[in-house]
Amino acid sequence: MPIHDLSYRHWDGPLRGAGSRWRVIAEAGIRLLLARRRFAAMLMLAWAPALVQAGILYFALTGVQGVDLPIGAQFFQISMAIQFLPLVLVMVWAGSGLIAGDLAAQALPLYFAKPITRLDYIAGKFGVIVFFLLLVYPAPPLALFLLAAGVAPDLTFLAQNWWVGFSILGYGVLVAVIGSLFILALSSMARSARIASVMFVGLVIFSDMLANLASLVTRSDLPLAFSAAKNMERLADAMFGLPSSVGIPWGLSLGVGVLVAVWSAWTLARRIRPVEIVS
Amino acid sequence: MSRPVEVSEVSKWYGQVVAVNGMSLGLEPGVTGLLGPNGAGKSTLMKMLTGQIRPSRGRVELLGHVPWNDPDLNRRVGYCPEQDTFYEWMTGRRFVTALLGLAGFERAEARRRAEAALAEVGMTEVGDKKIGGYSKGMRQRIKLAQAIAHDPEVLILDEPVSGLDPVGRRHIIDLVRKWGAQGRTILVSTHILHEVEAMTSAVLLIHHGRLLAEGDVHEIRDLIDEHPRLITMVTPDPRALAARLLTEQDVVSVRFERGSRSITAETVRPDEFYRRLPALVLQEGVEIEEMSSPDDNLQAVFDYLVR
Amino acid sequence: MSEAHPLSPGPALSFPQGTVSAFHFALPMALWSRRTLVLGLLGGALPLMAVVFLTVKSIPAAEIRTPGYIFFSNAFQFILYYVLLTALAMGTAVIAEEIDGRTLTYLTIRPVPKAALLLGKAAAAWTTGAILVAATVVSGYTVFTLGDGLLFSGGADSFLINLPTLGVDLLLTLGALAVYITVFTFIGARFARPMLWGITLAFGWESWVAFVPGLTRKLTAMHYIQSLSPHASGRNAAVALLQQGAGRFESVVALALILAAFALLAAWTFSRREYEFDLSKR
Repeated sequence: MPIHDLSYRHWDGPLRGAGSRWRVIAEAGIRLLLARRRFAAMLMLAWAPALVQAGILYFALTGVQGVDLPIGAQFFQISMAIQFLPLVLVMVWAGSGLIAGDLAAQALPLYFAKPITRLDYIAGKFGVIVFFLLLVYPAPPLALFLLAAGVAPDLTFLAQNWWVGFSILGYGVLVAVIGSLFILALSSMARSARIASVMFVGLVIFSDMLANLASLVTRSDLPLAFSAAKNMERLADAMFGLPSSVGIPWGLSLGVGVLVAVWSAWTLARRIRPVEIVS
Repeated sequence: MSRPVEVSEVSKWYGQVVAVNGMSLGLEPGVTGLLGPNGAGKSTLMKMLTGQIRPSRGRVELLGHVPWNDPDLNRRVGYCPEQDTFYEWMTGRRFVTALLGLAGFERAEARRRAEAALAEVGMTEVGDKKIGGYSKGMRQRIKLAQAIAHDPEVLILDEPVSGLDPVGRRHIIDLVRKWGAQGRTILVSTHILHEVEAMTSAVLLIHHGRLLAEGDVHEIRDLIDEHPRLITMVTPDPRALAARLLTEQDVVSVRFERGSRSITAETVRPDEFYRRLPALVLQEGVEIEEMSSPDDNLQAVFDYLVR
Repeated sequence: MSEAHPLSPGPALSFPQGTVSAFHFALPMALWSRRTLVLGLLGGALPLMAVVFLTVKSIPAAEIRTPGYIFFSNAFQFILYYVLLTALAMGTAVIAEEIDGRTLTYLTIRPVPKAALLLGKAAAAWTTGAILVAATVVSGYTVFTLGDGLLFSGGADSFLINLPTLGVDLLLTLGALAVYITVFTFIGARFARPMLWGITLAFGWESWVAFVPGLTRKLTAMHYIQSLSPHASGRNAAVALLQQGAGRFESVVALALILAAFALLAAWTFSRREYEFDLSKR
């Protein structure tokens, strides 16, 4: 009778392609964060404003007496503006420690002892934060838009506003991608999520204050391009086809966003190294 | 006269998890080893002794004082914690000096004591390097240096030889023995059983938060007289020796070790067994090339107690 | 070591001595940290803005005739936000940084009362923050007024005339810094995620509720700080217009009470709390 070898056997099946290794990091990071009850509760709370707006939207579109609210591009732009606070909270809570935590624990050599590249690592971490940002920023207004399309009595709403859905998605993805890269870059510059959070809050809030001050000093709207909030507002106005109170071209705001993304990517490429040199 | 360290019916729980369960013990001056597997409650006990946490029930006393929120007591206590964390940007020298300054020493005195502590643990030459650039062993030594620099009466050392190379371990073991001989009361925890035995014969065995046994390691062993002891012998004629041993009442089993000329006998009266062996060799011509007892160490004691 | 020196433990420390000892320990770490560098750079934005102002004013086509001091006054809101951010960064770090870095044990095993340890570290945080804030205020004021005066008005009159207001500004900002540092020190000692609480308090509660009409604003420190400010800028202008500020005496007493209450709360919390380094428990 043949006796089979029950000792260790090498895997001789196919290995996952190099291009999908980032997903392991992303999925692990997402699962880890979702396992934290308070964070999960915060994510659910982030949808609370959308629930309230859903009620308003329903009554407005179904012609309930006394509710005379135009549902169009402005409604959904405001809806996105309301999601700004959850966006910031998720960036601080989930994003600030994504790389800082690994740096503090000296985990990068562990990561790069596996057959992954720096791009896999960065893409994996990016995947974590962008997932949650998409979940709390464009997703609730998009759900509202689909609800509006569903409860509208006829096709008028859709005929007039079909492009708004794409605006929500496009603007939301743009903000989520740039925001994710930015918070990851800040996280890579610190060994503590707290310090990364302080840098983030400082830069976002102070950029706005400084831009307003500079605008006052120079009597020009051009310095407003230094304000993160003003750039977001200008881009939102452009993408939703609304008149803007921010007197800078939307192309400039987009350029600033791209610049921030490029700087963030460059910082990440510089900071993520498998070996740390202590001088 | 009360002992320097007294623990009386102490328990500590975190929600549903009981980390230390009704423990009572006392430490005399000298070195005592604290032994137990991961999660046994060693670090929790040490944190209570050093006032980092409070017991949920019971009383801890160090030098006659309750350590929780008694900063004055900390003048006389040194603690080497388990976690490998530091102010990484500081040099080793600055780290020890700064902590001495925090403890109230004047600058010159702090420097002098820091130098002495660094010399004691063999870190003088690398004292001006940043801790972030230290090896694991160096980091461990710096931790010890900050624990001993202020000349404490009581030393609580949580895994002090962790991460050290064999030479480094030997050095630290010698230091611990020396400090114990000076009359300090030292509690050392470690997983490395032969190192505990090298440092001291007084041990505390804990498991799942409970004190399993305390005292001299050999006394503990002897108390477990119902536990048969294994003795391995290498002989040119294993079968003949086995047959001879099986005629004795205290031998309960003999096992042949496959692929070697050794046998392992199990005896319930090891003293009698050992007394018999010279007669076997001299009078009956039995040849025994080598003999050892895999049982005669702390691991065996522990394995038996936690079974 | 002990053959030459018989057991000689260190000196017993009183509470004030412990506080001073902790202050001296923590000050170099607070001064020479990356956090201080980042905050210093942010604070440098104000004098930089003043340079921009002077540059633009020097362009005839810009037709700016407003004195530099007016712009400095308008920038006071920026200074208050800078104080908030500095206090947030410094205050939460007093205890939270030691917990995150798992170095707290080295401090609590020293013969320093825990409350003294906390207060000494908070004092070091305030000292560092005060240097940053004072540098920002003084440099901003100097460039705005002295630069403007020398370049466009032919003298340092504006700089000299408004010096008393600078003194008030410094007292106010450094006092506000102390108040906020004690608040954030308490948050850092009490909560597992001090930054989230701190950001919500600083840029949510303090930034918005302080300007809501009614009694709620009296629950913010910013309301009293704004009431003591000699400048009418930004939201402060709206407050001044509606004459909703608190009286001077009321404001000083309220701020002192907030400072004392949170300092005591922070010291009490830190003395009684057990800190776990097992991150799964946080």
